[in-house]
Amino acid sequence: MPERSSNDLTSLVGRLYDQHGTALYRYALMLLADPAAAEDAVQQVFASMLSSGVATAIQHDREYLRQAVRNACYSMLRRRVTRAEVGDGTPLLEMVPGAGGSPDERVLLEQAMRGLTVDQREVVHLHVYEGLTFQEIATMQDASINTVAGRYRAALQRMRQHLSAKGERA
Amino acid sequence: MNGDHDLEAALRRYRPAAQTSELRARVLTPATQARRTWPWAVAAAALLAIAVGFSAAGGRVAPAPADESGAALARVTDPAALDALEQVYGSGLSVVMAYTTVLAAAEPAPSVAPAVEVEPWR
Repeated sequence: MPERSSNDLTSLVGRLYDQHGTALYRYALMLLADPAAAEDAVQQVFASMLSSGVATAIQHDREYLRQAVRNACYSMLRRRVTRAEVGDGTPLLEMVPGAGGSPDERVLLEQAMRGLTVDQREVVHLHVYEGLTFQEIATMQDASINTVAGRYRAALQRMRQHLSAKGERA
Repeated sequence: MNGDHDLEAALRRYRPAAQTSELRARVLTPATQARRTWPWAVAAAALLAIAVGFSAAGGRVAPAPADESGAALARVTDPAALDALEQVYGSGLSVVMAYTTVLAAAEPAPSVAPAVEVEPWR
């Protein structure tokens, strides 16, 4: 590959990272519940774009990158290379400035999130934090809309149970 | 929090944590340079531990099949050992390679026949 084209590719990948990197990392973090593994997953995706040069051919970059990160995360989960079960104390959630959250509530919600299955956490993330509809999530996951909606309802129910159990104990 | 709306509203007061600032540099560095080395050290340590454990437990293997392909996995008669290998190396070719290494480590050293005392003067 000529030098100029290599530089172009690097700058294109850098631009894609600047546009989507944070959202992709957050998605990976919700799937893996492990910050280091989430960074590895995002790095894998961008490194593969750099090495294959596929970045120049992407049409719908956000959807493509999200799917690529999803594949990388599930591949890591299958190989069990995350430490999600251990929980190293690194926060999964951070407060949105000015939204009125509290550190105690953050910890409670985070514990409830960690108690979900990967599927459930993914649906919650995509729906609540990325604003995708159930139909869009279903298309992305190649699942039925009923399955996605069921996962979401089950996730919220499980979180409520966790929060009310903690509330009774407090 | 009684309903889904309350819980969703609570969730929206937060967002997933952001990545470290170093990730951008890692992403734009060639993979061969940026790849972390610590997982390999962990894997090597785990392999050593498995090899020692396998050896200490007197792990038994069935006779080798004629083919040298992935069927080598079938030779492992101790499911716990195979599971441990899969946890470290995943499945497929890599576990076969790991298994081969473990097998070599677990193999008892060939016994040396005692030297025959020869009395050349007789």
